[in-house]
Amino acid sequence: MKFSLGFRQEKNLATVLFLAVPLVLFAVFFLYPIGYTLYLSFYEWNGISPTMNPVGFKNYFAIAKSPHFRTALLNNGKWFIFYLLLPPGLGLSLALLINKGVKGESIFETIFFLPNAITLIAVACIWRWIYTPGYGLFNEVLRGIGLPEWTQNWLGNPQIATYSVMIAVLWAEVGVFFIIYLAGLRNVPQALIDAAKIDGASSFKAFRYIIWPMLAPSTAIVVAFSSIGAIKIFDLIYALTRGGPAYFTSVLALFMYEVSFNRFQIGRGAAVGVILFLLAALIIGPYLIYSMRKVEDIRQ
Amino acid sequence: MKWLRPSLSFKKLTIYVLLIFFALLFLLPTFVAINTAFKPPMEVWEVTSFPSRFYLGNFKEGLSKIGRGLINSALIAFPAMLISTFVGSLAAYPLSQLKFKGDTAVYFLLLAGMYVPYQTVLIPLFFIIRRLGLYDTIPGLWLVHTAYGIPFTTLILRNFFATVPDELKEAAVLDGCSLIGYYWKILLPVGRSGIAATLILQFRAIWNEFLFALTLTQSAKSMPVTVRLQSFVSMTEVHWGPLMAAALITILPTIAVFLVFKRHFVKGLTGVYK
Repeated sequence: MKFSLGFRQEKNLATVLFLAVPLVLFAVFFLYPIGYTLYLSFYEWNGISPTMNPVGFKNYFAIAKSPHFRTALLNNGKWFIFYLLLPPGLGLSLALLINKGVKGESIFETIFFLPNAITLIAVACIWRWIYTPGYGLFNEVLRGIGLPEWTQNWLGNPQIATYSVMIAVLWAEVGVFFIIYLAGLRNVPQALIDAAKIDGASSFKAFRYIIWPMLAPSTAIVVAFSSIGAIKIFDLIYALTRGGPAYFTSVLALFMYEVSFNRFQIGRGAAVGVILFLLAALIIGPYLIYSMRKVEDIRQ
Repeated sequence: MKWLRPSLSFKKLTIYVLLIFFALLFLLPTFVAINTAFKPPMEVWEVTSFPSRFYLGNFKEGLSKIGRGLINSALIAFPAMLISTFVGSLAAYPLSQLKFKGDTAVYFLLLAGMYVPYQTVLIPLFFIIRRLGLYDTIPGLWLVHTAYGIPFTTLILRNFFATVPDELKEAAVLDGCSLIGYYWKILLPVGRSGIAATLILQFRAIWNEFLFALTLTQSAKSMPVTVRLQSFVSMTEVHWGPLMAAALITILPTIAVFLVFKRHFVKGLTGVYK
């Protein structure tokens, strides 16, 4: 039996049918929880008790006063700077090296990307072993090259523990930055660079005035990617240090998890969740609006 | 002849030296893990030496700790990667092929989900999953990975489907094919390379995932390998040999998938970030 629908009706029907499941899931697992977290952040609740105490902004004030929160926020700031500079910088450098037409290109590509394929929990296992205080590999190598006074408790010294974790993150995540920049570089026409070289431009000038501007779309993605990475960072810190020593390597995501699921201060955890959401919106919002406008411009 | 020009070959040489230096540096941590995993217990602390013999006891002990987790991870990852890719393709089809009012807005709404910190949804999610009776179950994680995979799978598949020419659809419709039939019979087969890339990237993401698994499982019957491995590394007295062996076993599936499907992997990633 075939209904005779006009093409337009059929198109509308198909659109609704296909979008129904994804949109319902999106509403249930994104929109509703975001709203509910906001709601919970104004209550005091232990997650089990049938009564929830409305407390206004008390959770937010309590958080603002907590030294753990301030340290975590500061660390997220450090991660933000790290993510904007090091993984993109190293990723771009490696991409530039490989893009010079070297032999074994595909092997290098594989080696630089490989850590990106593995779980951060395994990364944490390996780096905890490398950083083991006393006779871990890192310290042994320092002794071996005649720098015994540089040996450290890399993850136990509050002054440097966050930076130690950053090295592990750099190793684990630079691959994706490398791949993005490599794809960007392959879109730069070689003829353009050759022409500039013939006109006497140095390699640096060719990079500065031709390659770098043409990489702008890749850089936009990298910046979005980095910013959200700095807000979302959790797994590796959780597995490497649990935020310790004390809370010196903690970040907001870790603080939220601990407050909500170890201390059962649901309202306070929700308030941290809201703060994380606002930070993400503040940083990523402009990028999203910008790309949305761009897509609409292309279509008009 | 090129190699007779000293400045050029010197430059090339520098590039190779740098590349090989970085390559060795990148391989080092994995090598350390392999080296430690094959050492008999007495030699583990001689960190700069090679094993005196190939000792497999660490793998046996490591496997006994995470074996069940590996099975659970497989039971979670394979169905979840299929379901999440399918749901992503459902959204990607109208968003790429059927122009409708507000399609850009819907697309960006879904895309924005990629940037939502999971801590913002974690508490309600915990209660939703409990309410559905899916706490500490494998199907619960299928659902969660499908839902939170939507932004990524939609984005990547929409970009792939957008490269399928409109004429194909017009021709199919002229031949009497319905728009639903077009999706099944033409779009999915034509877009199979995009679907393969999505499946592979979703497999990696789900196999490696930690936060949802940590929050939504508590017993050995559903806990995936990442959570098992994590409880292993945060013990006060760590047995490094078995731990390194367990870590290596854990990463083997994603490394194998990456090495075999590298082309899809890279194509998928660069397709997304465009």
